[in-house]
Amino acid sequence: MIDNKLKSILLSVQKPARYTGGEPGCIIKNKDEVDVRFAFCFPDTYEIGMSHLGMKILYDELNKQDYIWCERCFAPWTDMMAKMKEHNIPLYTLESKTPLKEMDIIGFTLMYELSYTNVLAMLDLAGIPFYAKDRDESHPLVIAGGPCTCNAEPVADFFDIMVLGEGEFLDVEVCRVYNECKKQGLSKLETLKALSKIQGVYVPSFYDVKYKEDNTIESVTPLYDAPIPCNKHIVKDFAHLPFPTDTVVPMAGAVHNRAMVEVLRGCIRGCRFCQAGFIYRPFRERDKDLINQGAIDLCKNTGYEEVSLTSLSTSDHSQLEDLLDDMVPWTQKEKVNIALPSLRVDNFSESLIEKTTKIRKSGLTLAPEAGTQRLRDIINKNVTEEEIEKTAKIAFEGGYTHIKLYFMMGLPGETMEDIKGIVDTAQKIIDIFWSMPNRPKGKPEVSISVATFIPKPFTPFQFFGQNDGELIKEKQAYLLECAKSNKRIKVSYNNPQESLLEAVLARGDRRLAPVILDAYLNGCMFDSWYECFNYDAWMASFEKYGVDSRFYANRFRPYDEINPWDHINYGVTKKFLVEDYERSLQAITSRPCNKQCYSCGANKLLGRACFEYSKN
Amino acid sequence: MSTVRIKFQKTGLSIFFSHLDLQKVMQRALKMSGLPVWYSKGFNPHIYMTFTLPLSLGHESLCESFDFRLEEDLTEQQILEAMEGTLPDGIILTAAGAPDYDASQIKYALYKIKMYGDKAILNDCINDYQTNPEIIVTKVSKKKTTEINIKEQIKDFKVVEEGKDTLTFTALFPAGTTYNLNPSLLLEYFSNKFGIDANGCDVLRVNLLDESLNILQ
Ligand code: B12
Ligand code: SF4
Repeated sequence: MIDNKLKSILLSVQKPARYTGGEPGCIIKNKDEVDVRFAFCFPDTYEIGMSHLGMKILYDELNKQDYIWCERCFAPWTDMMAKMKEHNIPLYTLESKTPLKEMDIIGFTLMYELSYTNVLAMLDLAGIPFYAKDRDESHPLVIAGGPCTCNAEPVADFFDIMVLGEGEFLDVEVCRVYNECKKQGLSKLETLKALSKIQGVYVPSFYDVKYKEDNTIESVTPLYDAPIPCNKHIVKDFAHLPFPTDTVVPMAGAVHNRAMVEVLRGCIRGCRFCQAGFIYRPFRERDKDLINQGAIDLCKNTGYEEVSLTSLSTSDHSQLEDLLDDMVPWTQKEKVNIALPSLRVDNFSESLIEKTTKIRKSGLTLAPEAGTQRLRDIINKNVTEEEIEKTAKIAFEGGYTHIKLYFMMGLPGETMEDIKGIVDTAQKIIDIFWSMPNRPKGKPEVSISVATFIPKPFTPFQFFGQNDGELIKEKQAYLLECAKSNKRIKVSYNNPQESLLEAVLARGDRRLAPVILDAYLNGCMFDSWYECFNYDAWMASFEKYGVDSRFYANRFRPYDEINPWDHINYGVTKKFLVEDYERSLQAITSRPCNKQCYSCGANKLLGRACFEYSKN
Repeated sequence: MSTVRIKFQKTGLSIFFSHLDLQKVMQRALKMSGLPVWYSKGFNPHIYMTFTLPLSLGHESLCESFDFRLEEDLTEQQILEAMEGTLPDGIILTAAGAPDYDASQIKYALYKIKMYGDKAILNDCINDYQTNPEIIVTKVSKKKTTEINIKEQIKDFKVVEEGKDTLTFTALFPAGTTYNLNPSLLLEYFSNKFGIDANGCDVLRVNLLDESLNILQ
């Protein structure tokens, strides 16, 4: 399967085990016994992609079907990419080393806007035309899924179909319909028409977008009876949705190399900056016994020494404490560590910290997101100063000495006072440490990590214009100034140029496709990697096509403007987003969904109320 | 508690695992096997594990081994059965039992190396090796770079097979806990001088030998 040419290349690049497959748990089938060959493509490195739970879920589900063989493919790192090009080695799947070109369906997961150029790089390496219109029946169907499909208009022209929302059941349905069409020998157009009937399937070429003189959208017209709006797909009965208990175990260090169990989907908090909090609505919990039993099986089958209870807000699971009581005995016996990655400051209890730190202690991260109460109210991060202090106290009592705090800058309504508030918050935590008689040994350390705020579609801040680079630089400089005097506070922030690009791509439209392609052709790839990001090349491509990045990133968008994603329905209505944005302007918070329903619209996807309010 | 030595082959795709990767692979395999593996005590319990002799990335081997401890005595069959299905492609377990020799006894490793390329060039390599009194290569270690004559360290160099465009030789290279000579150094020497593809060669470690050149089994 690996010939001497490939072997020699593999031995000349970094971390060759990324490109070989063969891990325990990977699925090998006989290609002559399957009808549909599916390549699940992750447009980033093996280490990142193998940490993605969504891929594990869909890989497992697709391979449970006898007629489908799902294989994996990741973006080769730049050294490998160059060698493959030089030696004419087409991009291949890890399981069978088959060139992607020979697959029936190529499914990309779009997790992050800055991985779009990697999609193009992978198509290029595979020898597959970039634009959907340039591909016919002889080419694989190129599809996309993942959170960015809620507005993947900038890359819509490259895909035949996009899957909106949750992939479970839907992925199999797409393969089934595709297979029927293939057997009947239908044309690509007829196949796309058949696929467009499935709820959650979006066929970009079936929507004709017209622009006005000022570059805003004039109209979006569906063709061939395509649904408008196009609705996302969800799994209504998430409580009893089984999850993979035997997964591929990556051998060459994945970022998150541990067993992952998704305990709930959606989020009740309604933080106004968080896209995931809105696009994964409605909130649904998985049954605690299913989680526990699945976690036992998963750890046994994979040999992992850590099990992570993942979700957007794990401590909001109504049975979390009971679940942990069930899990602590067996995990201790098996020397498995339990990780709770998304603890919230406000319901972080002593018993929780005790249960998760029985085995190992490490640093602790908290995300106040903004430095003052007023700004936290604006963004609806409902965390109070006292709660942050209380959490820090519990953490120090629990033996932690290093606390990492996450903040954003460039939020709506932000002033320099709020920037100073970031450092004040960190200082408060350090003061608390020294004031405690029972503090742990050593010195405290507080790291503050500040990201530039990026307005995203389907959030109440989707209307807001991002702070421009100059203003962000000014704020970053002021932040450093404020933190200068204290050596125990470490400040880090991201590159505002990268945030600008992400902002453009997040709320962009189809006029960006040629820009992205041009940037790729000029060498842009792995844009989220510091060592690869090339701002000047991107700006040259924008200029070449006469596209103004500020039009997408920095401009306030009037409520009545047609957004590039307005013909897509993720549950939450524009009416609700406007109302919630208005509330934010007055620093009025919204309560969590389990306390009060604001009729955002997501319950329509469920066909019932999200919560039984009489119980609360 | 008993110490167990597992012997295994590292072939096929698994040659792309680094030594560090391999340690993790084995650790996870032991965990997956459900065997009553002994853990170190203390704050961060871990599996105690030692590898007899590291193997370079890209080399195959028929004679790898590592030791670990079990909390109870088990038969070879019980151990091997428990480990089934826990390892990636290309790692094949061949035996499990009490350690039979000490790593410090290792002095040589027998390698079988297959080179690919134009016949004339492959012959040039062999001629050069056989006629040259000295083969000087640069050895780069963490601390320093040294020039060494590897010819005086290599023993029993033999051509064993000649194909249309391949040539296979075997030789003993110093190996062990105190000194190792990586056979890739010889291949890189050939590569620099005659342009063969050093990475494209198949390097197989066949067995390990002690001071008096007895095979350690
Ligand atoms: C685990 C994780 C990681 C891991 C693994 C990589 C990964 N992307 O998963 C690591 C730590 C490496 C990581 C890194 C980053 N992450 Co991250 N990560 C997550 C996290 C916590 C879970 C992802 C997950 O597995 N979800 C659960 C699965 C079941 O959902 P899913 O992925 O959406 O998949 C479902 C559907 O989308 C669909 N689907 C997905 N793909 C496909 C493909 C096809 C073909 C089909 C049919 C369907 C389909 O089916 C799946 C099942 O229903 C999410 C937050 C969250 N809870 O969702 C953030 C999240 C995805 N990450 C995010 C970010 C910002 C990052 C980083 C940029 C952080 C940074 N600054 O470096 C990097 C980017 C790396 C990258 N290229 O993706 C954001 C993305 C937001 C956005 N689009 O702008 C999220 C949403 C967190 C957030 N709240 O902001 N991340
Ligand atoms: S419908 Fe109500 S409860 Fe459900 S997600 Fe929307 S706001 Fe929250």
